[in-house]
This record gives sequence, structure tokens and C-alpha cells, in this order.
Amino acid sequence: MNLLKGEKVEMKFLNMISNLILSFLLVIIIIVVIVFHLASTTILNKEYVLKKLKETEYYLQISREIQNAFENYRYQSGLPEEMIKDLYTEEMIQSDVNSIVDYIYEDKDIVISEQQVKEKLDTKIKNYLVSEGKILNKQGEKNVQEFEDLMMKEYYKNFNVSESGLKIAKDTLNKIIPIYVHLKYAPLFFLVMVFISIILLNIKDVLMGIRFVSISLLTTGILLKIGKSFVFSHIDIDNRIVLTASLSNSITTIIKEILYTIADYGTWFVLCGIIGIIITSILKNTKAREKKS
Amino acid sequence: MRRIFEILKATIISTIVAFLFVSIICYIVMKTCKEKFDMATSLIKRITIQNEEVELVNPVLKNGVLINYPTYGSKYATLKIDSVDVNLPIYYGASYTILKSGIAHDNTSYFPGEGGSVILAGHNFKTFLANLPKAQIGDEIVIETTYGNFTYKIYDTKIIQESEVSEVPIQKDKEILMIYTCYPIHNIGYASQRYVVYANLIEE
Repeated sequence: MNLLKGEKVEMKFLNMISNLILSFLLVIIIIVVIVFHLASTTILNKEYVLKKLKETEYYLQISREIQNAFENYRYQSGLPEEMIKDLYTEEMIQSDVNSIVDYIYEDKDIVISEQQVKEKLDTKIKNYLVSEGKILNKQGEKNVQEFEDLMMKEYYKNFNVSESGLKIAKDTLNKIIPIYVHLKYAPLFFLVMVFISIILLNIKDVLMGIRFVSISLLTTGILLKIGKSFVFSHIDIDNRIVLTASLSNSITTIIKEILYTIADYGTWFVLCGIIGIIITSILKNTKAREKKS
Repeated sequence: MRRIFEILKATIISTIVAFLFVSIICYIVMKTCKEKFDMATSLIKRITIQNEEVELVNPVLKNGVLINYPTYGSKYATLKIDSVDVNLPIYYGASYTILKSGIAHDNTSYFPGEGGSVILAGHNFKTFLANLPKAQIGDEIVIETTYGNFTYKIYDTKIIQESEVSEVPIQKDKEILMIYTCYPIHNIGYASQRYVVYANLIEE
């Protein structure tokens, strides 16, 4: 009798340890599923990035930055303000930004319309000189040519802000995306396996199984909340500038959106975890009382 | 009551287990990934810049050394060349924004009173340094700073290519003021030459 009791206690103990281990594994797998899901719907998704660039008015900001840069050069050029007006259109800006995004996500060639800008500027300057009756000597022509080249480079620079940076982004995505495509269903598969294992292990007392799942959800929720707070406390995301103000604005918006989404998931998981724990406790207690009576 | 107590007990135990899991995972992550996280944080701080408000300080000259450099972009002096009707603010730094507002102080050069090269630059328009080429040898230049006034006398002028940086040297042997602007003055397009005025310190 005592032996049987001892064996029962041992079985219960092993059962508890197994539940704890599976519950712990479930936490890690849920976090991996969330990371995969977030990555696939945000930074690994070209359409999401383009949508965010539109929402953060990146195209408008970059247009302003280009105009500002043009004005700096025009200032010292002796040319009137009209020379730098209407050198590019909104469609050109959008197409050039999209070309950079296509380069990063699809390894396409970067096609920027700086040559069109130069040709428009050249036409405007020639017309201006003719209207003012100004004839340039060889040095003067060279100065105008150099001015046009500088403006062209300035236009290009605002899109290809950092060649090395863009290459790193492209190479990193090109490494991550194939891995993600290969493994995207693996975390879900393991999630289902662990969940089924917990239920099977607790087939005689399903409420206990659900309780351990709830503990996992609560743990996941707390970890997600901690993660978001940790990042915000170590990196002052709002006040960091990445290359240009317009790019910083878009990047910080995307990062903050991801972190707030993580925090939201955390809240839901904490709530589901606590509710699950409370409900299973109530039901278990009711069952125990019924059994007693 | 007893029932509520039992339910509460079960809930608390489950919550404690959850926090234990959190602690274990946080410990494992800190032990294995702390170094990587620190590297990532310092990399982020290296490739980005902090957008913070800078406190304005008043410079003080002590034994030929300036204590408390002016904040980048702040006005710290006025340039006066009476012979060519120049009276312009001098800003510390040489960005396009500064050049639009007045005279830029090359931040790789010394300050007036420090005994080295003081290099200033300005645009060549009418309201700025268009008349600089009209300044003659012997004309006086006054720089009124927040820490004192300095008078210089022009001893040389030159037209140089923008790439000839050796003509505008940074040195600490003698206080020489060098002011330059784009040349030709009424140039159209990009001016690749600079008109430079050289002046010695005569009065502090």
C-alpha cells in the first residue's frame, strides 16, 4: 500500500516536472512565433515599408531636404531662385525612393533620376543667360557645369544616403528572408506539438493542462512587456538621428510601432494568462468540492 | 470564504511559477546575450546621433587659451571692416545654414586671442563679403567678441583655388586672421576660386 502510494507520489512529481518543462518550452515557442509574425508583417514586408514611408510623409520631407540643399548651392551661384524651382516632380521623388526600396528588398538596380534634374537645370540656366544677355567664357561655362554636377550629386545623395548602409541592409535581408521562408511554419508546428503534449500529459486532468498553458501565456506576456521597456530604456529612440531627419522619422516610427505592438501582445497574453489561471482554479476547486461531497 | 482562499492560493502559486519562468529566461538571456546587446547598443549609438538641446556657454579667454568654446552654430562675435563697409555677425562653425546668416568661423582654426590661425569665411553677395576684394593692404579689421575686441591689419591678399588649402594654413606660432570668400565675385555657377585676405593682430 505504501509502495503504491510512493509510486503515485513519484508519478505526480514526474508529471509536474514534465508540465513545467513543456510550459517553459511553450513560452519560448510562442515568443518565436510572435517574432516571426511581426517580422513577416513589418520589416520583411516591402509593402509595409512603402506604406509607412507614405504615412510618415517621407516623400514630402525628402523633397524639402533636396530643395534646401539646392538652395544652399544656389545661394553662392549668382543665379536667381527660379533656377531651382520645379526641377523634379512628386512622381520622380516617389519613383526614386521606391527604386531604393526595390534594391534593398529585391536586389534590383538603383535608378535615380538625377540626370533629368541636371538636364532641366541646364535648360533653365541657358534660357536665363540668354534672357539676361550674358555670355560666358570658358571658365564661366566650366563653373556652370560644375554647379550642375553638384546639384545632380546632391539630388542623388538624398536617396542613396549611404551606399554601404544600403548594401548592409540589402545583404542582411537577403540572408534573413530565405531562412524565414524555409522556417516560417516550423514554430507553428512546434507550438501545436507542445500544446498537444501538454494536453496528453494531463489527459486525466485537462484543467491542469490548461492551467500550465495559461502560466505560459502569462510568462510570455510579462516577457514581452519587459522586452519593450528594456529597449526604450536603453535606446532613446525618439531622439536618435539616422543619417537624415526624414529617414530617422520613418525608421523611428516603424521601430516604435513594432515595440508598441509587442507591448499590446504582452497585455493580451497577460490578461489571457491571468483569466485562464483564475478560471481553471475556480473549475478545479468546484470539481474537487463535488468529488468530496 | 474558504473557497475564495483556495482559488486565490492556486492563482498565486501559478503566478509565482510564471514569474519564476520570467526570471529564469531573463537570467539566461542576460548571461548569453548581454555582450551582444551591449555591442548592438553601442553600434546604434555610433551610427546615429543624439538629437539633444545644447546649452549655450560664454567663452572666456585665459592665458591665451579659450575656456568654454562657443556652442556650434552660435553667434560669438562681430566682424567689422570699416573701409569696405562690412559689419557682420560671426558664428562658430561652417555649415550652409551658418553661411546664410553671416560669417562662418572654421571650427578647425583658433579663436581670436589664442595666438594661432583664425579662419573666417563668408558668401560673396552684396550684403556679405562682395566688397572684400576692395580692401587694401593696411586696412584694419576689428573682431568684437564676447570676451574682448581684437584689431588686425591687412598685410596680404591672394586669389587661390579652393583646393589650395596650404594657402590657408592652421598654425599656432602667430595670430593671423584669414578671411575668404568665393571668387570671382559676380560668378555664375560654382566658384572654384577663393579671394583671401591675410591680417596680423595689432591690438588686443
